[in-house]
Amino acid sequence: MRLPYICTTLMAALSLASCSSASAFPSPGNIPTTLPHTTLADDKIGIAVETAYQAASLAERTAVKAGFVSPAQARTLINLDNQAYEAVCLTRTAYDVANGQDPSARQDGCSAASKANRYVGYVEAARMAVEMLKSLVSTTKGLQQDYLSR
Amino acid sequence: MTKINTTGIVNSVNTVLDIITKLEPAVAALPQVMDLIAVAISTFSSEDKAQVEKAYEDKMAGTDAAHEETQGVLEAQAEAEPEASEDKG
Repeated sequence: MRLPYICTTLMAALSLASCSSASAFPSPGNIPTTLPHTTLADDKIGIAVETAYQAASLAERTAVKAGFVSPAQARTLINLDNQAYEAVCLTRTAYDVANGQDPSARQDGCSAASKANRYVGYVEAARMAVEMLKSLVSTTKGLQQDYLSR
Repeated sequence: MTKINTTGIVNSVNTVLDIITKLEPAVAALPQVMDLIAVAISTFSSEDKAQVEKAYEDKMAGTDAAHEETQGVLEAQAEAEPEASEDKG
């Protein structure tokens, strides 16, 4: 009895794999299939993405409080921080879609646009979030290094 | 003049960057990990799933709070006089 279930799971995994190499906004035909309800990998990756954002966010606040960030640089960081947060939100939306839930029902700070974008696969969304967070942390780190080299 | 322990701050930011860099291959490997999980999936109880989902929801709330706080700090800094930030250090 377990074999059909495993096959379904593998098909879902293969579907995710195909989405991972697709463009940032795949066509509706590439929407990932619903994940097996008992799978924990998607939740754990989601938690890791959220934790990474929180860590990057803390680094930004610390940099400001330490005096590494000028007002002009703060404006740049505002945009980068918002982009990273939206990418995290996109991961939430993809998670909801993959788990058969309605993203718009979620009560959080994410924009309506990020909740409406249901065409990005879960893996692609998580990868986008990681890229945005890397850019954000690299920028923050660069500001600190510039400050220390003065 | 304010003295700042810059080494600790730089080290903490380096640690954050390391974590994010290490997360990237984990995300890329997710489809392959799913294959392995499919084999072990019967060992997961619905209670475990509920606990992890709750942890994810709690993380989301923490992220929203962090984002709001960070935006507040950055906006205050963006509106600050340029000379004020140059005086530090």
